[in-house]
Amino acid sequence: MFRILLVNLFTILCMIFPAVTYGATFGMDFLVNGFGTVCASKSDLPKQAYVNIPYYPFATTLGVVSPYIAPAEYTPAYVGAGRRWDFLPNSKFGLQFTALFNDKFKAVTQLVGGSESMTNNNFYVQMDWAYLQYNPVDALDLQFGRVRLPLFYYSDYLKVNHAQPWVTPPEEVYFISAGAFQNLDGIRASYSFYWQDWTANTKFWYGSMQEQLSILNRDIIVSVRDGIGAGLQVGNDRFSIQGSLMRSIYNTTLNDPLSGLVTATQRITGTFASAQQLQSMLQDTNVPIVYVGLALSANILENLDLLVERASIFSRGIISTARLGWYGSLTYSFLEKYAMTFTYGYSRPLQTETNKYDAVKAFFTSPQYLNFIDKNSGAGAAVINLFQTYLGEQRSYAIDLRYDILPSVSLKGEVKYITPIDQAAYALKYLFARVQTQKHIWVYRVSFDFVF
Amino acid sequence: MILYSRKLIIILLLLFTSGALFADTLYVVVSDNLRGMNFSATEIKHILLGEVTRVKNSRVHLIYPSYSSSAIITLSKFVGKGGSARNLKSYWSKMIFTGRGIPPDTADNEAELRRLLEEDNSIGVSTQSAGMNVVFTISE
Repeated sequence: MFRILLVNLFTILCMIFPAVTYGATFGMDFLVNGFGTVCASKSDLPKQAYVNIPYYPFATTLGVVSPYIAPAEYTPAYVGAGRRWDFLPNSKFGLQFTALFNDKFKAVTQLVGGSESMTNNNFYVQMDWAYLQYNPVDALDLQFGRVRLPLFYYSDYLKVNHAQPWVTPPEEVYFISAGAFQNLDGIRASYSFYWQDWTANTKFWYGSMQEQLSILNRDIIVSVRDGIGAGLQVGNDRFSIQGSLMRSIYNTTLNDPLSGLVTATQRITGTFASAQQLQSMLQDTNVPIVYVGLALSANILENLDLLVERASIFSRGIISTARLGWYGSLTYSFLEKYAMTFTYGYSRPLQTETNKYDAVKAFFTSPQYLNFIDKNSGAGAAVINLFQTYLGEQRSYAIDLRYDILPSVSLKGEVKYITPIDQAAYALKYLFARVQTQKHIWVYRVSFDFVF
Repeated sequence: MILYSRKLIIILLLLFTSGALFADTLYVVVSDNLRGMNFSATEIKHILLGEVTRVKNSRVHLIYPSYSSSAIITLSKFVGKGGSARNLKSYWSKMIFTGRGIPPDTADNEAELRRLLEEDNSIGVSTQSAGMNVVFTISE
């Protein structure tokens, strides 16, 4: 009911506010701006696939009941690109309201709506920004409320596709945490120094965030608290470098079934090494997560721009990930309204992630588990396969062509080739977006982006 | 064959010289209350990029030429956005949707610019200097 009301409200706002984008009300200025993307995506992944979901109904007063697996049908997609052309996953619409109280205070609210795949809802309407800003001097911004995490080069305006050269930003960096945790409720400060043609911008932030996700057919709560970070960007008209670092404390409820299974196995068979090792890793509460982002941009020639970006996320927690990704993009602008961008991307798990997988595999292939618990159900093998999905390593090559129909409206097309690498030791191969594949895949995207 | 070669040469010239076709002199013009103020090139650049938002302790009212005009190309070059209307628009999208900047008004013609300059603390860009309070000249 609440969702329907929100959608209706959103629709009404969309109809009303483009017509009134600036006004003065109650002695203050009021601005409305917006952005949107209509994006169609397609890949050559199969239309349907099955995944074996393990279930563990063992916690009964009668003792341990054998686990079992159930095959679940799903539609494979690589960051929203499935077998059929689909407009939903990457399309979005945003509205921003700015109230300027005086020269030093303003309030900004940004509502973004789109299709949702990480929860059981079919769409989302969320506030990406909702803060009060105080500018004691020009160079200093203090923001209180919901803010974006400025970890990577485009993080602050990641959903404003019109301001980017690609149809969608390279997932090796911008999908490294699967699109989760892009916002923070807290405080953010930014200070800029100017020296001749050079600008240095520093940022600091602190806050927390909670999200409800759907993983393995279960609704789980994941939360981040005590998120503290800093960033520095130094540059001039032709060159800039940027670095950011954030540490936060992560909690989830997803580890409970596995933890219970390990405990039950030890109760029956006695304590053994791989069970102890896995149990210690499954204490997945209050886990520190560290993000690191580095970016370099350069205007090499008048019409040629380079952007190289590297991101890593590190967590020893069994559910959260430890991964590295980077990309390099070369954009050539021509005939005023056209631009072509070539992008190479790479993503791999860190050794910590491989260690987690090894611990899961050691327990679920141990004689104690197989003989006393699994009893040929295949559930243990299914768990191993599920955790292998975190080990996807890939290279990607993309070409994006952009045509600016108007300064505020652009049409883009993208062709991307993604190939899994270095997974010869595993029976199945995965792309980093946890997509199972036995070969390279092609992804095609077309988008229509606008701002107003 | 010769015709095709000529077309190819023209296309290549367009591709590699596209940024150089719009050479202009622009004048940074201000409202009457800012007449006579001195600004350095760096200060003007920061103002035109919305990085400096206050002059004389009041908020600057920024006025751009239309994004489809040739003047925007010169302006884009001056502020370090590569002489591209797209880059300048992308920059302002970033400023607006991160809540950092208030988008400039755009004046489609001189009459509209003069009307917008009637507001105190206005700073705009014009291709003409006659009858305007010019505080800086941007030349290619």
